[in-house]
Amino acid sequence: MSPSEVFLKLNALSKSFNGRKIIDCLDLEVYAGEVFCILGPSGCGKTTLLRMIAGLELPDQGSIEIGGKIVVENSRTRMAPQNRRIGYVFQDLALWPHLTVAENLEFVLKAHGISKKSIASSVGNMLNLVHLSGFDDQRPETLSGGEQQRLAIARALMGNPLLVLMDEPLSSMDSQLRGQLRQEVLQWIKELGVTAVWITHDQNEAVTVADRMAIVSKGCLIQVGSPDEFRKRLSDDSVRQILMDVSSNRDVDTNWRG
Amino acid sequence: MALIVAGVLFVGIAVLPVGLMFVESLRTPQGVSLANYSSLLTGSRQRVLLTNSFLLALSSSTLAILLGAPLGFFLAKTKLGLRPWWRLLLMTPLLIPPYILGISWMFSTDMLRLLGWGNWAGLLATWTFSLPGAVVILSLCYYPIPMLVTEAALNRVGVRLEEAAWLVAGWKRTLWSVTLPLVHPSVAAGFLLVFILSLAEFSVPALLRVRVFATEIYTQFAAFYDFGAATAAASPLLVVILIIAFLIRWLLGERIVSSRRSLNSSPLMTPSSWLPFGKLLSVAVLMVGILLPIASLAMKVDRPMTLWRSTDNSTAEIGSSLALSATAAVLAVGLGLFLGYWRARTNVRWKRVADAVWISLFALPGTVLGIGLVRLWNEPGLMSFYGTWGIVIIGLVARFTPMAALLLAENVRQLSVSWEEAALVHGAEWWQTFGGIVIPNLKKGLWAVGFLIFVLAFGEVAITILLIPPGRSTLPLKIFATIANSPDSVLASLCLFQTTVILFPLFVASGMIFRPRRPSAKEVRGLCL
Repeated sequence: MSPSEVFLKLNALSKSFNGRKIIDCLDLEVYAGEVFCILGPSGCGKTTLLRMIAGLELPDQGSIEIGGKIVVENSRTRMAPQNRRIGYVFQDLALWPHLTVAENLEFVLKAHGISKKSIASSVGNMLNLVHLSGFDDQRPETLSGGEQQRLAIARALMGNPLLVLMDEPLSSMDSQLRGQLRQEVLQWIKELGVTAVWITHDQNEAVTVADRMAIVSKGCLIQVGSPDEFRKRLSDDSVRQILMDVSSNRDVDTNWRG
Repeated sequence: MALIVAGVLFVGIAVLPVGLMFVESLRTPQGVSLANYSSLLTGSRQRVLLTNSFLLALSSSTLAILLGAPLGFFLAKTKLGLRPWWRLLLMTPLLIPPYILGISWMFSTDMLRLLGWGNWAGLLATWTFSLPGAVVILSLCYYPIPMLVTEAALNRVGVRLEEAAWLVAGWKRTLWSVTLPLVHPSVAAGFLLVFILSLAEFSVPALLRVRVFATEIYTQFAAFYDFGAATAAASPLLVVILIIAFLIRWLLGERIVSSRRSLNSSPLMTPSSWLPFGKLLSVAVLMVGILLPIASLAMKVDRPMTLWRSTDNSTAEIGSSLALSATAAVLAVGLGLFLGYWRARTNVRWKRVADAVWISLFALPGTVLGIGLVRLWNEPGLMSFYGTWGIVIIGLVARFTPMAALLLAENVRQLSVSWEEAALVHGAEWWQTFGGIVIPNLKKGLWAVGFLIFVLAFGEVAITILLIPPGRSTLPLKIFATIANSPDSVLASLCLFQTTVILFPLFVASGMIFRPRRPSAKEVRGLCL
């Protein structure tokens, strides 16, 4: 699939919980191989959007297309989550506590029916890539926060996923470590050539990693474009206001003005 | 699919027999009629049963809450060393079958005389075979329920809530105005649970010849083989149990058996001067509830040889009991796991109904379920199965699966949903997620629930007495038969043996679990890296 082709397509997606509209008639296109960031304040529906793409929530209306295949349409699943070939970094990481570091990665490959021989080498390569070699036999709870984060990202990248979804993957880290890991994750994604949807509430993170980005507010898409386009449109009051909300009521980073 | 199969199986073995009983109770030779019910509610004999049953349940639950709630408070809110051991010791009476405690109380008069307390022994002898005797024995059996419920409820109270009040109001007012109001629904639920368990208890009233509905059902069925009358006698019990089960569900909400301690900080501790009072009460309860009964049994055994000879003569019954309990535990845990998983993960509205049905079936007298199973399976075409151990196993599984489902539902609820979602998203099928993620993380819970069911099934009487194949017996049935036909030393030996089978593995396993754990070399390496 060439980079200019649409890989993920959301058509008129809507979702409500207890009568409250979380996602409201949202359209979005993500191109193959790009890193697409979704920026928005807490409670705007970012995680719900990701969960619908993964198949963990059903939309009330609309359709989702992954790699040219409709996976869900008008609250009817056409493809189960396990068949969508998605990697997911959960906000709480969701590392399996009873499995070791290596076993956490092996589980994904076993689920895909990959032979034992290939599993060992794939796991070794991935652990090398994310700098976790030597931690194979440890349980996730013995790892530091940063190491756990690397493991969660490594698991999402296992088994050649077509699409990686990351729900604030670096949110629990301090700013120095976050900056360092941000570059590394971007490098891994580009190396493996996967399409990624990256959720964040950190505007600096978004402009650093995104090929394109979108702002979501109250379930609606406010603006989509490249980081450069965003910088140019900062004079727009609505975008500026949302970015202020996103930044926890702090003023917009002046570096953005470029 | 697996969950649907488990649901259908459960309905077939546990719900259908009880439902069938209701239908049968409405059938008379003249057609559909309420004759069985009208005779039940109008007779003076029935009024005695109703009064006795109600008094027994109310008094036992009141006494149990008076003992259990302070002990739960003691466990949760005092700076207590060896807390797990105290909890284990104090909950022991719940695991020993109530009739063992009843039999040992019958023997304790001799023990008191030996200690020179003749007056107490005389008093004990006069009231043991009476309603107050049954009340004391049942409350000593069931006080661990309000104790555990109170402790769990106190542990669940958000510590920040207590601390916020403590800063402005001191610990006494905090306790009175914040902590206790937050736990009283759970304490009330504990009271109601003991109420329905006492209402449905068969073995102690049968042993002490106290006439209540649970024994009447058995008499109507076993002595007169009047299925309609037995069912009609069970109906008031069923209705009361069902109403109270819904009430318990309403009081506890989603926290039916939760025991998670709230995070953040240490609990609000009471002054150290309260500790001796707590210990004194615990020791007194342990003396009366455990030490005195076991010592009375041991004294009656007299010589170790009697113990050896009695158990040697009962090897077939002991073997049957062990095999039946182990099989029932494995099957009930298997079925309860699927049902509990469904309960924990479902969003359907009638999960509350499921909770209430499970509580009702758990609290239902074994005799009622047993009679329902007899009605369902005692058919000409099914005789080749009905006359085997298989029917007893079905009875035990039907009896204990609701409890397994309730406990395991709580265990599943404590597992993060995102662990399963992560497996699913990364390509695992449902069965791979269930086998690879859910079950390994439930391992401890599965063992604990399995052991609990093994213990309860090992002491079960009400179902086995109705379903046992001709010419066969179990240890509890042999104990019941021995009461009238054998010397006290033999009876005491069998009771002591049964108690040992229950308590020995419990304490050995606890010793291994409670032992301070050394980190493995691998973990040490992990921490150093």
